Amino acid sequence: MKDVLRTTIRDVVIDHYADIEGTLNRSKFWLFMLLQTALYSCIIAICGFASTVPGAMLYAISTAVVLISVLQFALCLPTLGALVRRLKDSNNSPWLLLLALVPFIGVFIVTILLLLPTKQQDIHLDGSPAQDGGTAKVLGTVVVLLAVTIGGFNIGMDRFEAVVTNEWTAFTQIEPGVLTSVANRLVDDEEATKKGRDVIANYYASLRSGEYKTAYRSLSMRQRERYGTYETWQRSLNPADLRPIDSIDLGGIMLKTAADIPHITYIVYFDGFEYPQAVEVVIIRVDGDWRIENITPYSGEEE
Amino acid sequence: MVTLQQEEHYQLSYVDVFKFNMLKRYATFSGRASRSEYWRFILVLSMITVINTLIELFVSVICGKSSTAADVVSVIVIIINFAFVLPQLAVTSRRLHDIGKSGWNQLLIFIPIVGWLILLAFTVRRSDSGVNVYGPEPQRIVITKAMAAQINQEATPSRKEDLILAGIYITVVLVYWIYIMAFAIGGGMIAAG
Repeated sequence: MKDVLRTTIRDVVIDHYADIEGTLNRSKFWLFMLLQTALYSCIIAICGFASTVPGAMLYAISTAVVLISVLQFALCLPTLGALVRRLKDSNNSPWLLLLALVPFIGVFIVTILLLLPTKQQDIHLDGSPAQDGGTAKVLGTVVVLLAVTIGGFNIGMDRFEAVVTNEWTAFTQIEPGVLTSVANRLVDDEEATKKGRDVIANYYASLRSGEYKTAYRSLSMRQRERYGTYETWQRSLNPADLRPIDSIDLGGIMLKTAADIPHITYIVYFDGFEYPQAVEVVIIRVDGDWRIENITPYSGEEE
Repeated sequence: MVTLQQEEHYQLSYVDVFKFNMLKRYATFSGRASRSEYWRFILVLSMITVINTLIELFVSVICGKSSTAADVVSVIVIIINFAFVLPQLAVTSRRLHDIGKSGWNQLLIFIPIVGWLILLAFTVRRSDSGVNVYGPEPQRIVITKAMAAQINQEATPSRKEDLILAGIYITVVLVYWIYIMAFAIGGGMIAAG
């Protein structure tokens, strides 16, 4: 199997890196394509396992993204050359490759064109006759590469999913984790997310115990201006705001705001099923303190 | 037609090819440059640019973003980048002459999505053998260790040295990208609204 792979790589990538002269037979072409996908799957599998290392999730994902992009850039010239030469091999014009741009069926048409047998009868520039590759020799390699592709991709993605779910849960519960530290770093404060959650918890606790003045103090200027005066705001409170709270989850960080002040979004879940069951609370930093900027009903995220 | 000087016959090492292209062929758009001269020179330029970027990043992190040290380093980096523009255009022109194409083909890089790809396909091609419109074939002589002492140039880098240097360059660039991408992805995952 190693010989087959070595010949394929040498023929397609090293010898004819940017070559559109000559032809390419089916076995070499499809082995090359399969090798590419197997490489990408290997990267996904390895980075998937690397992401389970605590604290390495973001680096693992970015490694996978960068490596796959670089490989695609590096291999796009040989792939283009291989496509052109494979089409010439079955006596088709290379311009038929553009059929791939046809909306739904284009890719299928070109794939069928790429599966046609060798029709060219002449010899290559280096004296070797153009011939269709033998299928028996490469079957073992094909099976192994297929297994690596399908298995590697699925295992890698499964690991990634597990890690991302764990990190996202840690993020919403404001437990230590990769995303929480990114969030804190974005607003230049290590305890920002915790402090924000405390501010919201105290706000609702003061509302329930009737200390309206304390609650009013944790509102930002803009929120106060919405109601005009203190009395208007107090009258606007309804029993829905006084329900006991189930949990306060971290929603996200908004940085591209009008005044470049970081906003943190929390989602407050109330007990019971009255509308609104959850509200989205946005807080901003005013003079080192976090104040409530906005409270809107929340209906659920398209995750 | 340009007459070949002594150095143009040899495949030079990294330091020598850098000095050759920056000093002796700074704005020479005629003549031919083989793949060895072109790619080794581009590797050295890219390494210097990458190291400059990293130094700038370190200085701005250590000394603060608006400190005088960061400003001075930024200005130096800009000056170095300007100094590299002409030699890069010149050596690409000469590489294109080597495969019989006009140096104006460099403008292909402005074609939106595939321009760089076409130019890359040209710059990796083998030299035209013998003499073409632009002059005789350059860089045919490999400098062995024995010759190096006699002609006062360093020996041509071996295949292993080439691979090691290219490997270092690729690793540095990849690590930098991965670091930047990690925070972009993290920020994207927690961005609200």
